[in-house]
Amino acid sequence: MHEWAIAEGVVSAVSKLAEERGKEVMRVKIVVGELSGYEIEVLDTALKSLSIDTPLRKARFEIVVEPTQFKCNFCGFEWGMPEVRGQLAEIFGSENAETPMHYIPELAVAFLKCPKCGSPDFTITAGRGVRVAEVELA
Amino acid sequence: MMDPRLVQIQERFREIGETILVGSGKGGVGKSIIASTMALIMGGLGAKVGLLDLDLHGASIGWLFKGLKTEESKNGLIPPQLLGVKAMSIAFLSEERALPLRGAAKSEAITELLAITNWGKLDYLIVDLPPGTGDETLTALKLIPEPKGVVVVTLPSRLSGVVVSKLMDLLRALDVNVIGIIENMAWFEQPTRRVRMFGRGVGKEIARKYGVDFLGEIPIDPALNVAVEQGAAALLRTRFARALEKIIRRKILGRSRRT
Repeated sequence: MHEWAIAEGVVSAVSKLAEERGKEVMRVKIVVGELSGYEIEVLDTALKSLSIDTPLRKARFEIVVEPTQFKCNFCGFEWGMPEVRGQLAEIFGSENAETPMHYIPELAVAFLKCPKCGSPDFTITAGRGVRVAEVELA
Repeated sequence: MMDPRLVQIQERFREIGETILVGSGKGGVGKSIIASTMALIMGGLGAKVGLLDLDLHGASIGWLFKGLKTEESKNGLIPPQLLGVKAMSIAFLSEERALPLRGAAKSEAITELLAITNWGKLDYLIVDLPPGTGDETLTALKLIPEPKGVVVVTLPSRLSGVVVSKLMDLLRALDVNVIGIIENMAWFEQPTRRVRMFGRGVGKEIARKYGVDFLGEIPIDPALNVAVEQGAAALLRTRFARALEKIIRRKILGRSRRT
């Protein structure tokens, strides 16, 4: 569901840029963090739908999912989502369930622990949230 | 690189009439209960009010809004309502678990919270700022567009005065308007006299030093704790709430563009 709100933010931000430069948008590359668990098809549909009647109407959307990486601030261990799928399944009933990290990726520290030492003090070093990585104007 | 959340935040705040921040350099001064009660009082006066808890580590509006949940919508999370006041806190999503977040992560969490909350149209948004002058406070002051100002809460103690002055220095440096100073827990009423157990006059001193309004004193109300346990309606009947309502009517709403 949150994908529509994200798409709205992307379309608004890119429209503003295009309008400032008086140009149309041909391509937008969006990077989304794996941790957010966004449904890419829903995000793509929302982007296309919200772009009608904006400078993005002809834009091609390239959505790239960036793998999430964590680093423990206590023992230094680094890991990715596969290592915490079991923890997610235990807390949320399924490793694919929609989690609060869908809305705020930083909430990972409330639910997950370092797979090596069990510390909840870790940093998301890659693959959080959404960012517009590239915009191509015509 | 472009951050779509920043545009989203600007758009959300276009729907909000005035944003009033409630802050204090120091924890434990009653900032959250003042922010929450302020929202409920203003809601009771007929305004459309939102309450945003940005205290990530000590998120505490949840106690008043316990059992209520956010609702998903196409355009973000809709905050739950209590007596007509919409409230949002990270505690609604963290399920009251501890959040051991460090610097940059705190800023990210606040940015997300501001971006995802779908307030709709509001007359006032009351923001419970985190204590201190760290990442959360700085992020909030940077991202919240054109707040009406900050209501700064202090205790009457010298220590509180010293710590609160640091927030005042920061607000002055960032050119953020200060609506005024509230001195909380100013006295305790005994049958024959008022006992000022934390000293007196610090709130007025800070106001004088920084050239801002002294909004008033709020006494210690022994009935407050029980009222909070009973819920929002009981809270609004306390002596604490009545003292705050006087301040709101005379010193805050009285100077608002909307009243």
